[in-house]
Amino acid sequence: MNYMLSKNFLINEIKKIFKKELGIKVSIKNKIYDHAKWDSLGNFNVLLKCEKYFNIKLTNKEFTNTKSFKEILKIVQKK
Amino acid sequence: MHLVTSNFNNLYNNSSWKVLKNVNIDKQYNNFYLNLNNKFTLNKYQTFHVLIYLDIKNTKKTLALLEEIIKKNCNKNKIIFFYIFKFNEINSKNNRYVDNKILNFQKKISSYKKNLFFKIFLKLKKNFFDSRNKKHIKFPFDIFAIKNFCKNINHNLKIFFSKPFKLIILDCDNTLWGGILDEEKIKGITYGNTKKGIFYKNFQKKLLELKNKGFILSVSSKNNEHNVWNAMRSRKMILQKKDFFNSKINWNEKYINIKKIISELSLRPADTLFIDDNFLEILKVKRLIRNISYIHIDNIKNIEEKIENNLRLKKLLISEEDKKKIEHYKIRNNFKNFESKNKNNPNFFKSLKQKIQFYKCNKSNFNRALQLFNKTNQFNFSLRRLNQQELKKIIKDRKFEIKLFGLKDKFGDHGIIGVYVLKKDKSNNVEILDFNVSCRVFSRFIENYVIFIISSKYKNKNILIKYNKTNLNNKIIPIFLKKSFFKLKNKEKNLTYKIIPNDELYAVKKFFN
Repeated sequence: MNYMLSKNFLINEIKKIFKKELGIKVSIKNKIYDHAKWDSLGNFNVLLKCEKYFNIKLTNKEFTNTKSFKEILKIVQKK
Repeated sequence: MHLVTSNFNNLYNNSSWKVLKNVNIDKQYNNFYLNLNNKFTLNKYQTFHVLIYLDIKNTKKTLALLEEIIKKNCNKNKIIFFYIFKFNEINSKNNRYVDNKILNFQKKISSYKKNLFFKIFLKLKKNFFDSRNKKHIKFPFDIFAIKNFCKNINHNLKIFFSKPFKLIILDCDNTLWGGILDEEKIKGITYGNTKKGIFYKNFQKKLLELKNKGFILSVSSKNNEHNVWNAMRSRKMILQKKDFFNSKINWNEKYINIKKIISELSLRPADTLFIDDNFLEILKVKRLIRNISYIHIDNIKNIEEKIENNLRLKKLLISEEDKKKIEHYKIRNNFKNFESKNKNNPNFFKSLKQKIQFYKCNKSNFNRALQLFNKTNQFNFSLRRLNQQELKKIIKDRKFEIKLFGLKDKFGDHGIIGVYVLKKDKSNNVEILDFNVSCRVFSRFIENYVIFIISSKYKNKNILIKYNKTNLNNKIIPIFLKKSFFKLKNKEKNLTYKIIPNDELYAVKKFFN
């Protein structure tokens, strides 16, 4: 239950980051290029914001390979 | 609008940039060189903020490009701020190489500084940079660096928009030097290369710099005038009698002297800064002279910092008029002395040999025109504050006629003292949109003469003038508008007057050569 709560919490927070950084509404199923504003640079901006917001640091590999909402969620959960 | 450009990827859509208002972030990667060589881009923006990242790999090439930009300096009226961020190399040899390159660069650029401003960050912490961001997104910094960029840019924009003081009035004892001259005599006051004296010396150095930028220095002090100038001369101070203008050194109340200085220079208290060590005196002055600003010297060691932090003591573009300002005020003072001696002389104005010259607005006087639009208050009909783009548009548009005018008289050249903008349409109307005259030359029939020239040029037209009445321009203009050749036509928000030439207007001709 706690896990689910925290997962929902993280989903909401990541959605807020998308809204603030790119000005778009996203769902958990979305991935890069689903929105015009979610391009490669937009993706990096979201990842940088997530790093700052959740106080985490992505590795080089994670930074270049994370390209969907689910992958972002997975990394944030993992860290 | 303002532009931020750089030699890296700006992450232009990052939300951290949003704190900057009216600022465009360059979308292109490493585009600073093209931007600063492109006349269209240079004309489009008011200021430029160039962020430069330097490391061992790009230093040589980037500094060469910067030097080229600086030497060309395509538009000398544009203010360009360069922010140089040096990456601290791990290898000390490499580090020294970059440092030396930057030092050489600083030496080379020192003579090109008129409209270019540099801030070089040599010792930034390691966590300011991020190698992963550099590798993958060509942004060599940690993301929080954007906040640092914004802070610097906002600071410079505040300076750009701040209105500099025109007059600085200083006390003497414990302000220009340490101690009380009257008690400690010339040898006893603190000034020079001693432990404490150096602070007063540095303060005077700073004041001299301000004077050279066009700030007028004056003294209001309870002292013996002869002793004050003597002390400055005997102690070989940086500031001497010639650097001050219209000083009042006597035993009167300070606020009386300050009021006199301000009114004799036809300035406003709001454009005046008073510097004193005695807080009671400051309070008294502040209470009796509304809107005057002050700096309290509680400790001479802090004065440089206080001056450095005061945005109104910064001037980005220094025009030729600024440099000649004191000369112009001296000429004006000679006129005032002559006026007081010849009050009853019926041929007084004729004897001045006044001559008004009209100029087209061009490159050589563009900055002065901008100043006249943005600095004059008391005799400014529209109070329109034009920026460079707006002024350029007016100059190019044939519908408008813009003319600057200068005054010469028997005392010398007062420089360019006013500007007007006319709007001509296909109907029979000529509308004076702007009419601004410097406060230095009021009450000399110059305003009347300019109206006379306009009405002579457009004899068969309806000449209208609009007056936007506010607190800044409600003293002198209403008196001027009482002249018989003005007729109120429209009482809406902007009062509109029609100019009907008559004998009173034609009579002004005899006062000018």
